[in-house]
Amino acid sequence: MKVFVLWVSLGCLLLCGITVSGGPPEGVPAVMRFNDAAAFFLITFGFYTVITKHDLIKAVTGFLIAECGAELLILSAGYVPGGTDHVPQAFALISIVLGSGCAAVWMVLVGKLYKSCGTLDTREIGRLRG
Amino acid sequence: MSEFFSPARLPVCAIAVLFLGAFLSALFGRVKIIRSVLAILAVSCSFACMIALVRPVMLGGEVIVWSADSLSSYDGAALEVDALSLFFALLVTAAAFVSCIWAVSVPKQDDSSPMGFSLFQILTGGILAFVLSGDIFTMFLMAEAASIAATSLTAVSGRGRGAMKAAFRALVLGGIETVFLLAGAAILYANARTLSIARLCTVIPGMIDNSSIKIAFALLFAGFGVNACLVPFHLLAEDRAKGSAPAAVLSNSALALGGIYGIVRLTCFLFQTMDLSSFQFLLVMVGSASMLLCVTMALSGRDLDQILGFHAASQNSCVLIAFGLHTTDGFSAGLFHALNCMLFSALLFLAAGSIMRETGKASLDELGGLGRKMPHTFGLFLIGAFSASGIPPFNGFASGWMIFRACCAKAVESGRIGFMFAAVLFFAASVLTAASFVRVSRSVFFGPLPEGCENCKESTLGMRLAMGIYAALCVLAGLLPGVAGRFLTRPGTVAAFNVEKYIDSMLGAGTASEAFGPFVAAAQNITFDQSGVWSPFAWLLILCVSFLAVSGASAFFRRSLPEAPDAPEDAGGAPLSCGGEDRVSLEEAADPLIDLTSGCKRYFSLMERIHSDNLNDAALWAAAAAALLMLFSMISL
Repeated sequence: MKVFVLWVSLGCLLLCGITVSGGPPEGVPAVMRFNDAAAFFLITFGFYTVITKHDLIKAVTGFLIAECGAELLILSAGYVPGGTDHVPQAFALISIVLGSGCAAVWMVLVGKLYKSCGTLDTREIGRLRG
Repeated sequence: MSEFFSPARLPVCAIAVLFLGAFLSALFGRVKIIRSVLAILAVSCSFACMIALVRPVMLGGEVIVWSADSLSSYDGAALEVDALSLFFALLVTAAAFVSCIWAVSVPKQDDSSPMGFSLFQILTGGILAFVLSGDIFTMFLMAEAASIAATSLTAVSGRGRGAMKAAFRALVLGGIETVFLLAGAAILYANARTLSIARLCTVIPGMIDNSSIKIAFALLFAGFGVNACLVPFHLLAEDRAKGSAPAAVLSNSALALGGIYGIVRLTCFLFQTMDLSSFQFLLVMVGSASMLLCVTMALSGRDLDQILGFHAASQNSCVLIAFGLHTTDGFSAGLFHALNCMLFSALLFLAAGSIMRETGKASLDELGGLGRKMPHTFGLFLIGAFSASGIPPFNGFASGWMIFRACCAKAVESGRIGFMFAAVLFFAASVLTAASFVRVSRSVFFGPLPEGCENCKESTLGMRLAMGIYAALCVLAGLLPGVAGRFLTRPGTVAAFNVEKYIDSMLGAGTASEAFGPFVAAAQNITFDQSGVWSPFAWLLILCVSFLAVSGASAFFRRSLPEAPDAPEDAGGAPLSCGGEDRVSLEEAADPLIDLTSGCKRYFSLMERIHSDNLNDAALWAAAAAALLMLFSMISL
């Protein structure tokens, strides 16, 4: 059941990537369309890692990959023919800073969980009471 | 000088003072008196700023806009205050103010308190800026800041391994929210070239057939849904409740209501899809599912904080049901229920926090007999429990009755039975909530005093004062629903149904008519039926009559039932195990409710199986929810 939900969900995310990269606005060069598709691929791959890997460090890595995908999507959204759009740049920069802050908090919590549970396996941590 | 204190500067002052307070608390918070004074000053200043805006915004109908010069180049207002956002801002600052009184009155504060106070103010500032922001960029930024602050507060102020586990899962769900919001905002920007909500309101309705826009809607809805602890993100409610009581008040009530506010902005303003019956169905269905699932989880919960977290999420989902009706009475009822949820959830969290701090225990199995040791806290907890269960004359009943009536009216008006079904589910959830609080009250306050609780003392005066304020407001809001309606919920409803005025206030007069064509100001057409406002006297009469009728019927049926045969020795009194065993005692078989009970136990068992503590599963359900929402928006929009 879970495997079915996993593949259907990830398939939907990938399909969205194809829809977004192939849709409007008009006049966007092929490389930017490729960027959009790659961004959704990264998001999907990140989710796949978080859902299937039972190691906390790998789960955190999966989230960082998914966040990178979202940031790539912002940068590609800011494409202007013959110029630069500063809003997506600022947006992406701030989200990168927030993402790194979040990653730091994540790693601190991973360390604390390892100290109190003695394992990094999500299944074993889930089973522990308290 | 008078220009400096103009209403336009008040929103930014309210937010800035909280972040300044957080910074100063982190620097000088080692001394208890300094951190207490700093926190109270910051939170009360922020609350005062919001109260000062009531006259121009709520009563005068103005929309206050504040924009930093450096940001004006992308035609986005950094902050905006209309009656809807001010309503939520007042809830957030009031909750923070009263919870702060409780927090500074706690005796024997531990080493984590300086950081806790700092994070508390960051969390308040983040939620406040989220509800006041006028563009998606600031909204995302502040949602993220609030989410990280809430998680860190849970880790810092919570107890033991459970708090760490809860904080980690909350951070995982926060990460999912980030990805969804970022991707949704990026797609919107790629198509509309703006992130200003007012500008997007004029552009997006014309692009609704675009597939990318539909995907953006699904992603943003899922992102705000995480914040609001809706299904399947409802486990976040349990995680957020693991921190200290003020942290739980802010993250489970204020932050979750912020998520619902985000959904309202998305559906009523940005995409303006609430006229479509499919979107009304979406909100009512998601709200009903969350309400029922959360109250189920609360019924099967073992820890006090976990149970209250699920109850808060369940009540917040009722607000979403009311908004999904998309009628003025429904919206007004939803706003009133949001106010009441904030009041009684905060009261319950603070009362539970007092108990857990005094005993050092959260499990219902380890608590008991505290009604004798903490009689005032017991009384205040009961007021919160009665309110949450929807018992008259408390506020939960007043708003619950309005939602129930609004659901029935919508069902009659639209001819759709689904709305009536939502009303029935809402009633069932109220009954289950009452059952859950009977169990909690019996376990915590009655029975013998367990070991280690002999020296428990009543909460301090300051803690009781904070809880007393909430309790008094619960009673007042229940007895005088019309006052809250006149000053808070009606202006909020008018603002929510008047997108054109919002656009004109932000972008200049006439912009809305340019975008949508000439229109009649919607505010003039808004009428309130007010059929749902209850009369306390009439309800007291109904309650007395119902009580007499139920007592009489019960006595009559007991007399008319035949004597049960003597049970054989091997079957007598066998307890029904979880999951329901095939063999039940004859005594139980004589009970006409046995089938229902057995079915419920199977349901609880199933719920326990599918709600694992594994964070991989949380991510799986999140991805599935996003996929379902995408399919829904592709089909319905």
